[in-house]
Amino acid sequence: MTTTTTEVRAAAPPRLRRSAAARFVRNREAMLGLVVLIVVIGISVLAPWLATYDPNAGDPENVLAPVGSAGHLLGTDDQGRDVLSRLLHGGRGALVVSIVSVAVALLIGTVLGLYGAFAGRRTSGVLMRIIDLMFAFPVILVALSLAAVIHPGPWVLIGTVVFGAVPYVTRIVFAEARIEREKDYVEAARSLGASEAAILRTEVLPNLLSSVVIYGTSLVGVNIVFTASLSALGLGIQPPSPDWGRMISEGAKVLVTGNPGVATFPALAILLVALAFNWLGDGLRDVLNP
Amino acid sequence: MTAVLTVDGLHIDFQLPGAVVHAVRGVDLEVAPGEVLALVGESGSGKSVTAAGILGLLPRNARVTAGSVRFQGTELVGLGERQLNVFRGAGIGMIFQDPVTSLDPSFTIGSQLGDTARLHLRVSRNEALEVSRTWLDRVGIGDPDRVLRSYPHELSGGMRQRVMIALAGLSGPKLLIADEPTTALDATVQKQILDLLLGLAGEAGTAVLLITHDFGVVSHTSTRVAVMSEGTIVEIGQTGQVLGAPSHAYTRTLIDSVPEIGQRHLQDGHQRRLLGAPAATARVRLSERGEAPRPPADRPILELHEVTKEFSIGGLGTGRHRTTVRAVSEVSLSVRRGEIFGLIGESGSGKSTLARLSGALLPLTAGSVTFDGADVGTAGKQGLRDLRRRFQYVFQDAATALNPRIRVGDQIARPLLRLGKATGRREATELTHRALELVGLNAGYADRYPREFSGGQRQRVGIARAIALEPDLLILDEPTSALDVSTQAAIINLLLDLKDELDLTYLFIGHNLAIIDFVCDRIGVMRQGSLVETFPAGELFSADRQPATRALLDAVLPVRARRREDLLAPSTIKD
Amino acid sequence: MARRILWRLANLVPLLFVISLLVFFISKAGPADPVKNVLSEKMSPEQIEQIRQAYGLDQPAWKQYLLWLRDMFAHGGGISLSVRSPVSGIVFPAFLNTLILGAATTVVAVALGVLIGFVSGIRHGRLIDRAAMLLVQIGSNLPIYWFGLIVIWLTAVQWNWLPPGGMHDLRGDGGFGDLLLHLIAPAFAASLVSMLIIARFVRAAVIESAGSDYIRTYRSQGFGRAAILGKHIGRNILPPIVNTTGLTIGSVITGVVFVETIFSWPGLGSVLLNAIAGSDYPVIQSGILLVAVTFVVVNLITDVLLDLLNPRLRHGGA
Repeated sequence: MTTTTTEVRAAAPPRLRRSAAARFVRNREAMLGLVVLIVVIGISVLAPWLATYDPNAGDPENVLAPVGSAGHLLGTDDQGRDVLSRLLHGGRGALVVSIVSVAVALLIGTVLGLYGAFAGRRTSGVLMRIIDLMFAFPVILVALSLAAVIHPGPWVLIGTVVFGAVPYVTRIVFAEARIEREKDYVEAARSLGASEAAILRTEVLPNLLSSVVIYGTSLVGVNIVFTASLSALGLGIQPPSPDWGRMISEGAKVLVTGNPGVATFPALAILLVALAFNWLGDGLRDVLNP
Repeated sequence: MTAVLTVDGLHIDFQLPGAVVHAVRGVDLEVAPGEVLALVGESGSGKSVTAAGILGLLPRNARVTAGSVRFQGTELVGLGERQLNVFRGAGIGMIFQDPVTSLDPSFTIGSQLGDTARLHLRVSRNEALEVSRTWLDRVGIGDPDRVLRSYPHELSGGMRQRVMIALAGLSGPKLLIADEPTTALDATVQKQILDLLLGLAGEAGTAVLLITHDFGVVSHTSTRVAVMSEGTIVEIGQTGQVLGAPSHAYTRTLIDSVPEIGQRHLQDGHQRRLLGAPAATARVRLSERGEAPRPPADRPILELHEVTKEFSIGGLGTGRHRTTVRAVSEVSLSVRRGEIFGLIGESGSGKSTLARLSGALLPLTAGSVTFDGADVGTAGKQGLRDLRRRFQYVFQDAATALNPRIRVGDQIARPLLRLGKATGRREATELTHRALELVGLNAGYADRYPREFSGGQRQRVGIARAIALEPDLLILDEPTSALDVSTQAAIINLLLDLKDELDLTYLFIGHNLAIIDFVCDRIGVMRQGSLVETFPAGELFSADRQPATRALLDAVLPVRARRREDLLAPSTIKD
Repeated sequence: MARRILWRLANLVPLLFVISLLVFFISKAGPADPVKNVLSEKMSPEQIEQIRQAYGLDQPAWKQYLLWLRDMFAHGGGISLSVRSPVSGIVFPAFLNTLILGAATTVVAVALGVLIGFVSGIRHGRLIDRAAMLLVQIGSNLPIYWFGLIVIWLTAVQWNWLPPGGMHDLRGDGGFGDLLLHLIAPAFAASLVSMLIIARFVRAAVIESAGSDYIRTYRSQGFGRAAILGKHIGRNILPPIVNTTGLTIGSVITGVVFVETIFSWPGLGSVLLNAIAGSDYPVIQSGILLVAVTFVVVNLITDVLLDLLNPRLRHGGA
């Protein structure tokens, strides 16, 4: 007659679940993304020592050298600059800009989303209406306006990415916080004497953080691609700084004349980094939200 | 006569990432023409999977690995979709648990019934409409023309389930599979729907395979019953025989876990426990301070005076007119120290709102709540914090009432520190461990996350979190309705133990009259936001009960039908 | 229903006000006095002052805003600072061209996006779904600028199927067929991002609908696959399609601007980029305002369409 009691009272059985770190290591996608990113960031940091040429030094004698030519593994561009050396340097600006601005957007978006989810109905309605509009707004207009106000450069990119990413993050956080808000543990915390601020910080936020991290990771990837296109248009990172996006538009001139490599290598670099962020994000999703 | 449906050694496997789950392992069933066979079991027993497997409606990751399903002699296992469609609807109809999601939200009822009629009866559009109208009439819908033009969201749950019955019935199937057809409905609607279903099946001579977890439903509906556990059928036989004298221990446990209405009178006082799952707690006190002499009983500990709560919906920006809904309307009641006060009502009757108002989790629109002489509404921030410790709350669904990202030990310890129950980390840990042991859990569980617990264990953690603060009053908001019956019995016994042990007062909210009747000393009945009446539990069957209470009582489906007759007229009925 | 649409219309007023204010401030917040930027230092201070008065730059800010607003409505944005001709003559034709490309881009994005999403949704987990999702993942991480280049290179240079850019063949008749031929490549390139977003959403909507209880009801009633796919899944993924299309309008406009320069499309994107290089604020302002207003209108249309598709609203539900 005491089976149930002894069953629950018995010494705690061993835990079945692996820790998050262990699951991460076993997740092939996440590990692949992480390794690629470590390599790319390592290369970007060490570029001045790794590159064999000055990325901006042209060699008029040796323009448009083909891929695999002596001394220029990936060839040279129309000014005779070494494509490989430019490639090694070219990710620095994009990486810094994307990571910094997504981090800023995550911060703003999390605060706004949480506020929207827990504020009164009217405030939250107005806020989310604005966010919805920003969500669908053509960010290129922001980039163009910013470029008109301050001159084209990294700040235009940062401003544009923040403007573009904040509504995404806000909506995610808002939607999840709304779900969390309705869960009984929030009310339980209230019945256990927690203040509203404490509920937000210690009860709800830990439940949102994983989503924010996962989403932020993917957003960095998306925005590396996006900022590259802005730089290609001339709104972003300015010459002579070597930049992947800029390299694409410079390579455009020679792409049709039979030198596709000048534009394609940076495009592939961008694709690889963006995919790596995607893989890492997807892997983190499997690990953090089982 | 040959069986309509024969299931023979059915095996169904689920392919999950990294594991294969054998959900159904060798089920044998036979449904004779015109009979009602109930398939009963707890969640995860494989009963719904079996039902889905019969019609080939398994989820993508599940498949039949062995066995056969024969419908009127035709083998269904291994048939393709196109061949199965010959039998689906026309031969075997199916009714699902949730009428809210089982109808397409984008089409009118008329369109959905009409399509089905045209598919199976090969009639014209106008004739199909006529058939639909006739069937809505047959399932007891008073204004079929309005309903035909309605979208599903415009109908109540009971109405939608009637529509589902019409949808499954109009093609005249030989077998109806009803998968928990009333689980999502209110008790008073449940009986109507079951009677409707049985009546229609009886008229047409349709056999019914009824899947349920509720022995009351089994007793009310079926001629034969099959009890399922962990993918196999443990017992099958005539309903009266299985319920009256179960031969398998599992069946007996399940039946004993369910309190029968009026059962409290058979075993009253401090020995009142459910037989299915005895739970005795260790005779320990949380702390020495808890021994302070209690004020005498009979003094109310919680008093509600004309409590009213209104919610407003719609208004600017929603495109709808602003309206206020009165969830709770001028309710006055008092809970005495040391008693278990039960609050019962259908969904939407305002009982949960009233519980939240009592626990100061929602602001009042009007009225007052007094706890042990102190007005909760005017207590102020600090005053309310002091009061909070003394009335605690246990939620219906422990899966959401515990924070998934915080270790359960911390979830118990934090409020102890916050509300000044423990002075330091070490004392809080100590009290946490004692509270866990008090609810029958090992103290070693403190560093685990809620997802590592079973449903019953989680509810124990929720109770531990509340009693760790040594409250005077526990507000229990349907504490067992998310649990299986055997777990439910264990939790109810635990609550009864704890009440005696810790000298607690309970406000127990529920929708199951049998449980309320078994657990509570006094009962309040709510209907549409108002408290209809309150009475001592012993007077539940008294003649002067209000109609709302009577309706709840009539809706109870007793497991052993004779019991209730005993109660109503003990001397005239012979066994 | 009508009440809801009126409410949405009323919502536009403050929105348009804020947008116009922001656009107005582009010139105010600019790095330098717009007059000094364009006009060389040869002019005397008196002359500059004269021009400032002519442009109303000596007025208080709120008055300048009103004057500017009047200019926008009455004269289509005033006089370009660099070309010295009316802004409307520069901006409107270019805007029309952009509108044509934008519409074509939307059509391509919706058609291909829905196709990809629907096919991989109903074949969820199968080979074709996995292949499509791989393509979507790679495609959405391609720099659109490079993608445009590759499209030109392949369609015009390698295969010689399509014209390499521009809007009309200079020697051609300038007819509709010619325009269509010139539209294909840039519209496809510009649609990349929005097409893949739509594909993802449609796939998710199809999977959700296919796994829903009501589809199980119809399967249990013996309805054929075609009837279920065409009627019930088809109808229930309409709102998400409209919704997603509305949400990707921003991506469409962004894609069009990116692509215009690559395909030498004489649209507003190229005009704006040139204007930014020359600090030609009247052109920048009216161009941006025009696109923003277009966006707001399209947004309104999708909102109203969604309301119309929602049975809960259509039938005057509670």
